[in-house]
Amino acid sequence: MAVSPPLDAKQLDNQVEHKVVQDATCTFCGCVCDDIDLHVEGDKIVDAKRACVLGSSWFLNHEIEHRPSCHIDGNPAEVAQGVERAAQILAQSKYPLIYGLSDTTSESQRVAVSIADWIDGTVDTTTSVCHGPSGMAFQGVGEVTCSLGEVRNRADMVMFWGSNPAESHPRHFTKYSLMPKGMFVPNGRKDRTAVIVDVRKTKSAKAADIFVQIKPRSDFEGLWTLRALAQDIELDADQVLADTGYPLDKWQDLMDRMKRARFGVIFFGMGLTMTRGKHANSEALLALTRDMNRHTRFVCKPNRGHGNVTGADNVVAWRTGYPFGVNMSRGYPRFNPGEYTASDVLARGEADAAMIIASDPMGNFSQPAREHLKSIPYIAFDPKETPTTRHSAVAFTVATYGINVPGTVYRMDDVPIPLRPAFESPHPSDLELLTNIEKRVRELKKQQSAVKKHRPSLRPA
Amino acid sequence: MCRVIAGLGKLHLGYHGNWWATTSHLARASRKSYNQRRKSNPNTLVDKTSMSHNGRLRTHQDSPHSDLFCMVASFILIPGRTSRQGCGINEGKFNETYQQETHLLQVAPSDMEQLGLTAGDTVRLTSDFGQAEVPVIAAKRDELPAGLLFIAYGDISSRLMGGDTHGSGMPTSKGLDVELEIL
Repeated sequence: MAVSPPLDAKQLDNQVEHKVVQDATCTFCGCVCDDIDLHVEGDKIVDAKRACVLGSSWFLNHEIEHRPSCHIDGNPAEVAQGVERAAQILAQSKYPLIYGLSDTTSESQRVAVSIADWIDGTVDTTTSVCHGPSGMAFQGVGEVTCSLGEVRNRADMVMFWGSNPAESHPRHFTKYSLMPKGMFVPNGRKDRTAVIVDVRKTKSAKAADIFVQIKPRSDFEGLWTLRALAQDIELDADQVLADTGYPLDKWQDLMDRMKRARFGVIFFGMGLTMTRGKHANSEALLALTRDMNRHTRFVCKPNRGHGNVTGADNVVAWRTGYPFGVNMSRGYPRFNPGEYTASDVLARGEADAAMIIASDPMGNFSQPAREHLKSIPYIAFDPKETPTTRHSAVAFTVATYGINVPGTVYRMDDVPIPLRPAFESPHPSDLELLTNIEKRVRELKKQQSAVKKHRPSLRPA
Repeated sequence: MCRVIAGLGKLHLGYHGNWWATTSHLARASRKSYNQRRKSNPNTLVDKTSMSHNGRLRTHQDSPHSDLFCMVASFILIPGRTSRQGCGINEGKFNETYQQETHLLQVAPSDMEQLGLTAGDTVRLTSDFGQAEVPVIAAKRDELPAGLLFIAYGDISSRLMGGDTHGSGMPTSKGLDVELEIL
C-alpha cells in the first residue's frame, strides 16, 4: 500500500524524462476529447496539443501534489491508518452517504457502489445536482438520442437550450456539433443552422444563427409553445409574449425551420434543470424532441459537465438499477430523488457519516447541507486541496484520473473511452484506496454480524 | 451600512411592462437624483431609498427613521459556469483565479448606471435563504439584460441557495430572487 510520498523536489528534477503521449483523453468536461497529444517532462505536462482552454488548464495544472497522501483530522498520517479510520467511520455509521464519483474512473465507481451495499448506505453522484432532473425525466418520457458522432455527421439543425458550451465545453462546437464537415453535412458550419435559447446572451449566442432570448424561469412555457406549434395548435400571441418574453411569430419561424431540418438535435444544459420547473422542464424538452419525430429526425442530449459523470450514471444504474440517489438500507436498492439524494440527505441532517469521492460539496452545496456535512465525520478523496478535504476527518490526496491513472470513462453520449495516463503519481489511486476500504469494511461488518448473532434475544422464545 | 441620501420621500411606483423593463420614469428620475446627490455628497446619511428593479417600492418599517428608505433593488440571480472558473478549479480552489472569479458579481451596464455603481463597489445580496457581500463589475456589452445578475458558481452562489430540492434532488440554483443593497 502506498505511503506518504517523499517531498524531495530535487530528486524528481534529476529524473526528467521527455515523452509524448498520443491520443490522451481529457477528463475535464463531458466532451472527453481523446485526441490530445501530451508533451511530458518528468512529472509535468508541458504542452497539450489540441486541448481547449479548459483542457490545457486541466493537464498543465495537475502536477504531483507535494503533500502527504493522507490526513487524519488535519494531521499527516499513513495511508493504511487512513484506510482503517475510513472503514471504521463507514462501518459504524447508521446512515452513511457515499457521494461524488463524477471525476474518477468507472472502475472506482463500481467499488464505491459495492461499499454502499456492504454498509447499507445511500449512494448518490453529482448527477443529482447536475442533470438529476433530466434523469427523472428520462424515466417519465424516454430519450430520443444518438451519439456525438451522428451529430457530427448528420445534424443540420443544432440547438442549445440553457447551455453555454463556449464556456463549459469549448470544443463542443468544433469537434462535434457546429463546425465539423460530416458525411451528410459536407460543408460543415455552412450546412448547419445553430440556435441558442437562453436568458442571457452568452458567448455561445455569438456563434448562433438564431438567438432566442426568453424570460428567466420560462423554459417550460417556451418548450410547450414549441410543442403546440409542432402540432399546429393556434396560440394567443399576446399570451406567448407575456409568458416567454419572445414573440409568437419568431417561435413559429423557429418551428418551421425545425420541421424543415433533415436531422435536428437539441443539447440542453443546467439552465433547464437548475431553474424552476427542473424535471418538468427536461420532460418538456424530451417530449418536444419525441414530437418532432412526426415531422423529421430529431434527437436530444444533455450536455454533461464532469469528465465521467455519465460513467457514474451508467455504473450506478448497472449495479443497482437506478442512476443516482439510491438507498440500500433495506438490503435492496430504492430510488427516490428528493429523499435519497445527497443535497437532501445532508440538508435535512440525516446522514451521520459520508464518503465524498472526487467532488466538492463543501464548495457548492446549499448552506444547510454544508453545515451538516461539516458536523459529521467524513472521508474525502481529491487530487487537490478543496473546502471538502479541509473539513474532512480523513482526507486522501489521490492520483489524478486520466493523467496518472488508467481506466475507463464515459463521454456525455454514453460512449466508454479508455484513459492513457501521462506519468505515475506517488499518491494512491481512488481505485486502490476504495478496494482496500471495501475489504476492511467487509471484515468489520462480518465482525458486527457475529456480535449480533451472539447477542441474547429479548424476544420471548 | 447603506449609503443613503436625502429627500426622496414617499414614492409609489407601479409594475411597468416586461420583466426586463427598466424602472419607470419615476424611478429613473429618482435614481438620477440619487446619483447626482451621491456624487455631490456621498457621505450624506439621511434617507433610505427602497426601489425594486421592477418598480416596486419597499419601505423599511423597522428603520429608526420611519420616513426613510434603504437602497435595495430586486433582481434575478443566474449563477453559472465560466471558463475562467473552470481554469480556477484546475489551478486550485484556494488560488487567486477561482477566488476572484467566484467572488465577482456581473451587473448589466444599464443597471450599473441606474444604481450609481462602479466596478469594484461592494453590494449585499440577500435571498430567502442567505446573504453574501460581493464586489460588482459591469457585464460585457449586451451579455446580460437589465434585471438579471450573473455570478460564477461557487461559495457566494451556494450561500444564497436553499436546502429544499422540491423532491428533485436539485436545489434551485439558477433564477434566484435576490435583493441587492449597495454598501
